[in-house]
Amino acid sequence: MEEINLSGLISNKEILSVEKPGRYIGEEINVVKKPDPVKLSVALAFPDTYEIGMSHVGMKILYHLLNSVPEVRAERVFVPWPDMGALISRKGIPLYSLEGKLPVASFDLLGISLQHELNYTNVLYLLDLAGIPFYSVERDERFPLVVGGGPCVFNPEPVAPFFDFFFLGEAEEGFLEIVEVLVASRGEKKQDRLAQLAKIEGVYVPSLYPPRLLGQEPQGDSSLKPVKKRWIKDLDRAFYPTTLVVPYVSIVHDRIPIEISRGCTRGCRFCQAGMIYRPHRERSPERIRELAESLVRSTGYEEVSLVSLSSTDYSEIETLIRDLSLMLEPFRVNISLPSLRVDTFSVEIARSLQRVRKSGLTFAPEAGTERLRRVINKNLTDQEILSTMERVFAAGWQDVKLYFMIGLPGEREEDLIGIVRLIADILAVGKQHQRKASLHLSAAAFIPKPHTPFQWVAQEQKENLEEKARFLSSQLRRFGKRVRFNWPSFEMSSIEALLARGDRKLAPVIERVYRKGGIMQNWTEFFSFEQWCSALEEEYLSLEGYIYRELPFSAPLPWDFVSCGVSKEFLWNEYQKARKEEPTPFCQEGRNCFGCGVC
Amino acid sequence: MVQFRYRLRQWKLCPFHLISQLDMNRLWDRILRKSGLPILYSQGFNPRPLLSFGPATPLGVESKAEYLEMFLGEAIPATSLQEMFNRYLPSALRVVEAVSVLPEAPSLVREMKGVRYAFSFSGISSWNGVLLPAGIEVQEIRRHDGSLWVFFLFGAEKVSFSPLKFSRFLQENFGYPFPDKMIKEEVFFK
Repeated sequence: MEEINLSGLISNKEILSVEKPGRYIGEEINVVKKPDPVKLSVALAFPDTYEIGMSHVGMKILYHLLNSVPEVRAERVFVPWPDMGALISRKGIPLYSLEGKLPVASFDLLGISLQHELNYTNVLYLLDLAGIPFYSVERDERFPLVVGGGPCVFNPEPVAPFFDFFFLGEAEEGFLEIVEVLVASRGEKKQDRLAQLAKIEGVYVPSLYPPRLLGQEPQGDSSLKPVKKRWIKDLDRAFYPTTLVVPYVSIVHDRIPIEISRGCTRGCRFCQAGMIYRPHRERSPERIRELAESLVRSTGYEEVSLVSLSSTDYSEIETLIRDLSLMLEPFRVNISLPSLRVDTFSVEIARSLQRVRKSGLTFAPEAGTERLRRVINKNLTDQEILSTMERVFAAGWQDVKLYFMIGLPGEREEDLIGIVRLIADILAVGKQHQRKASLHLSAAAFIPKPHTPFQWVAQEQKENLEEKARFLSSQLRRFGKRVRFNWPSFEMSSIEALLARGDRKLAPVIERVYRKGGIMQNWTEFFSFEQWCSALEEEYLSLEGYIYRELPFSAPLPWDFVSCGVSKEFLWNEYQKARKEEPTPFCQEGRNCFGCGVC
Repeated sequence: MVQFRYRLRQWKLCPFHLISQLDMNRLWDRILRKSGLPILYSQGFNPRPLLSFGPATPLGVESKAEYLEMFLGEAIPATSLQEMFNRYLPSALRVVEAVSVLPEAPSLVREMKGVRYAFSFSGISSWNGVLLPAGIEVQEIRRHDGSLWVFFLFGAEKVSFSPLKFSRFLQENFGYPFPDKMIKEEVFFK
């Protein structure tokens, strides 16, 4: 396949008319370029911009994992910003890979990372720009096989007809089995290859399964086994890249990410990541130090970020940070911690980090009262929050970000007032230490996500959410400039909920929205609620049918056949405990087991 | 502290004319860390590597003469530096010259006396002499592959003038098309 001569096809004047043209050139430091021929070429696509896709740790792992196999060549593909998308369409240039500037349609396998439901129309945008038919049934052997991965695959049904197969779980475990089958079955019929792939654990081939609709008994073959996620037992033995592609243009997370642990022990009942990434596993400090050193040497990056769902839950976090700081000091490399628990221990850890000192701190109390925090199993007392905040301001920070959620199951007016009271108390404590103490508040909408104890819960109507946000806003006004408050578009939250809880009937809805011009739906400037509403109507569907109703335990769920290891009974039991405001302590392997079923 | 000062000349050819000077600063920060060279840092709360660049070449303009200077804590043969950097850099960004200069020598910008640019135009057959701003003159006109190449010398007070602004000036006042290519060819020093 011939490389696309971009500078020959696009004039300097044209390329300068698009925003940030530097993200379309590739040629970065440490980019992997492999000569042809290989036995399997893989286009690794991220249905969002370069800046977001390049920040994603999973993409980095998969890219280097696949390229570590001699007979495989993996190249990156991102969705262009609409100005560049329009330019290449006008010029008749198909979407291309950054490494070889090869048409996406010329690859053997197209892998699409599904991180966020609002990116679903971008999957079609990507296929369209690549000249690849949308539906699996429309594609024969001339087209790449299209595989999806990532957290959205835990309910893949809304996008199932667009994909030939999905991989469920952690690519370090199992994805190379897919590669083996694809290499061995080269040239065979698509259906035969899919049948072979379906035998691999963690692979879901939607064409082999009857559609499962929300609340309806599934039709067809009941002997089909559930699809079980793959996960690695030992993070130390799992592949992790020792080099990274270093971009020229600045990206969202422009630093070395080192994943120190996977999974979370806390069990917050709204949190999908806390369920689907179970069990909690840690990478050893030795391995982390080894990775940090080789990654700093190979990339020259100025910052290492210790990535996990809750960094301060890492069992040897203090020693780890002390040792890493000593090791990285001569390189003038900073350490950052992205997700801090609300406790004074975490503040002490943050204090020791130069990078975190300069930037702001973010905490997520999630709810305004102890009662509602017990409902969601985020078991913090007001006192714990206050003493954490006191320590933050005493240590010299002036501005703190706080995340809350509204529309949580069981939420009452007192919980909203609780947020305001908590803010007042935090500011009072803050002012004792910092004359300019201020808070940055954000209130996201609760979204019922699959595989969580709240998967049965109805989402609150967006009008109610907006009213609650306005109420908070008016109550917070009394703090003047000390409190800045913002909330996202609740229209976006309701479409996110729709796609999270949806079934295969939504695939034509997604297609309709795309045809109406609905790309980049996770960007407020492009999101159009009206397009979604009219597309739903045209398919005789409604938000009410999907998200505004509470489901009984007996209701069949579109993702019932997908297993992340956590049992439906455990989730239901957690939901019942939430109704009784009962906490579930965090799990500790072997000592404090609540039988979620994953281990 | 002993300081060893080096001056490097680097290419920034297509497609790297699409990355900004800010991107280049970040790139050099990382290249230096990757190289493990004894780079010197500025003092203060937020120490930065002692790196300085000539005037920024605007986005869209290629260059065969990007100049930068760095301070190291040890003497290292300039040619080894060049070789080392070129192992990391793509060839369109390669370092084509490296020399050591006296620590007290005047700064890059102060030493510049002229910059030569090459503009390539398509769709026009000849260059009609036009009244150029003081300090900018046409040095040479060439025809090559159906394009007209015009070489301009920016001197005197126009040394740091933006070639993009100049191309707009040509468009607006004399109707010349936007150049297909703009290349910074050479920087002349005093």
